Amino acid sequence: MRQLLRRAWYAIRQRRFDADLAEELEFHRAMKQRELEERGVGPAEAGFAVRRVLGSVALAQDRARDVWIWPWLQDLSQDLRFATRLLAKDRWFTLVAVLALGWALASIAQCSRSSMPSAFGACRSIIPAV
Amino acid sequence: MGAMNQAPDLLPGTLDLLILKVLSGGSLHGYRIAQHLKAVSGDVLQVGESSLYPGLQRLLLKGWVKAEWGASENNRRARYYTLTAAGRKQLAVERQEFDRLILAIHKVLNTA
Repeated sequence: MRQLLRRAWYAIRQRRFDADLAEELEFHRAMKQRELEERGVGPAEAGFAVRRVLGSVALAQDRARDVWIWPWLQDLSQDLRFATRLLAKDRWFTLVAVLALGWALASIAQCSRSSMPSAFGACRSIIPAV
Repeated sequence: MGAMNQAPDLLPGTLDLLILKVLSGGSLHGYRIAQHLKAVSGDVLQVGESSLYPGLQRLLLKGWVKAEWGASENNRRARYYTLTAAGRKQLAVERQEFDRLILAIHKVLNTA
């Protein structure tokens, strides 16, 4: 239960958490670079080492996020964001789709509410396939 | 220096236990934890940040450690981790569990 609360807290303050982690990893990287320089590692070799560290920084951030938010939830929110962006981009398609769906649903609702035969006849003309 | 970040495979959960143990001596930041593990193990345990930091987040999530920002030796902002009371308890539990497991493995290895 407490874990769930901590997860929720993370979800609310995700930016802050991510920023903290990024700063922490940057600190780690800087310390490592200093350590290498103190040991007298050549600049080329140190450059390679630091890049290696940077690579694992991205991995560390991904894995740290996986600890807090279940990966499937991350995928889901990513999919939803993508779908929203697509719909926003193609406004006319979205408008037509929403209107068509709305009209169809509304007419079906109206048909199923009235049990009078005359109304049923009207419904048939609205939805020919039924 | 080639394989500096390659830690030998640890038994699952062992890293958490080791971090808890290192922190039982007092608060440390992530870099020091890694250094400490490396030094004490005679350079055998070289934990990369891609396992260390997710491990620390796991401990935070479970409430076994808490994190606070403070000034480091060289006056930079560093995040210090401290064992909580629950973490101390967990260390004792996991230690016992680990000893039991190692003993069991030894038993298997020592029989024909």
